[in-house]
Amino acid sequence: MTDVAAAGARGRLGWLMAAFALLATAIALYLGIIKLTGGNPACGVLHGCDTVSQSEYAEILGIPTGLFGAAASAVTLAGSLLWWLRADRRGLLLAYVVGLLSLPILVGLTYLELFVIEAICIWCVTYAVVVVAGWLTATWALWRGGQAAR
Amino acid sequence: MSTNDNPTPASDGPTRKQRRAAARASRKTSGSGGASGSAPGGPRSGPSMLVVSVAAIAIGLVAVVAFIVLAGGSSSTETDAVSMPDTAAAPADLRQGRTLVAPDAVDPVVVEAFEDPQCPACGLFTRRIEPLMIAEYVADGTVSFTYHDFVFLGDESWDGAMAMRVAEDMDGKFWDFHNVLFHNQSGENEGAFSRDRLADMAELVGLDRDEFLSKLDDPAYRAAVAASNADGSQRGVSSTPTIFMDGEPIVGVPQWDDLRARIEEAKAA
Repeated sequence: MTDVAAAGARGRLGWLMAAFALLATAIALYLGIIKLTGGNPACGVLHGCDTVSQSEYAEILGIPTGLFGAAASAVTLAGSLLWWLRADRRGLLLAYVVGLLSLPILVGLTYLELFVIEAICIWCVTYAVVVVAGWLTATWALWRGGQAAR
Repeated sequence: MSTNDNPTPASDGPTRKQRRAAARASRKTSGSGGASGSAPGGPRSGPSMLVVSVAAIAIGLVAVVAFIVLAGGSSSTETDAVSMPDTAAAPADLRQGRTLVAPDAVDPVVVEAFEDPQCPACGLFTRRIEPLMIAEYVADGTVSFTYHDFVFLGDESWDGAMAMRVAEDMDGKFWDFHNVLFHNQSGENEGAFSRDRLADMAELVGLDRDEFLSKLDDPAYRAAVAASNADGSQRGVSSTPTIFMDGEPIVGVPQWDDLRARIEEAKAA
């Protein structure tokens, strides 16, 4: 791969990673702030957000679970921007590692929704999908980087 | 031994040293800009990436287990004592059996709720929305509110619904028992509404434990709950809570602002 091609791929993937991370941060912040202010997430015609939001799993040690997600996604966003705009590969590695670390947590939270709380929060599902999509993009970018270095 | 181990460089190609230098130069110009020298995903960084990946997954697993233990640890179980809610039950002067209405109410907006005692969303409605509606609209005669059984989540839902009826018949304690019951929800058919715990709740609201338990076996209560279920089905109820306002269904737990707006609208009409 030439430098121009590498930069082009970084531009496309970096943009995508940053967009996913920004969206995930916004969703998690929304859920966290709603919980802090004592409200329920808007669920539209769907139901379940309120049940999940009121469950004992909606916060840990008094801190809304959403805020932990927002912090993780903000770190991912920072890493994505670092790689996309500054070509610093440490940013890509950071986004990959935080995404990978998030996977078992997201699986655990989805399990709780399905089998313990028995309600689905569409915001939480969307957050999980966006985080996984961001992590897959980071993995793909790493893989392409590895291929380019061969 | 393979020829690759021969330290003598081949005369017609770059030496291993030259190849390493070229690879280093290539990585420096490939956009890794400032990385610590390793190219994650590249041939040399494979093992380190594997370690990093395994460590990340392990930390994630530990975090999710810790989360479940810490967050879920506070939930009550059948072994926990039944507790009294912070919110007081509906005022006695509003009670007319399973309906709450101010004595001087004239043509109130009729709000009805079909609920299952074990349904978490019903618990949410009872704990968060119902007290606001009672304080703001039932107390001043704007709204009359009626609770209906719509039981479908299993034996403990049936027992919970029958227990509320027994409490009403014993000492007009339907709303007291309703308040305690929904406050002590925990899982479904896992013992939260076992007969023993229901009897604890009965004692908590001032009822005689033995009398309560003996009445709970009266088939008339089961028949009454079944009749309420049939009524709900006839009116199109298929999930809980289903709220009716002047006959119009609202499925799910409404936001308080939405419910308030609907009440104001119905009141104006």
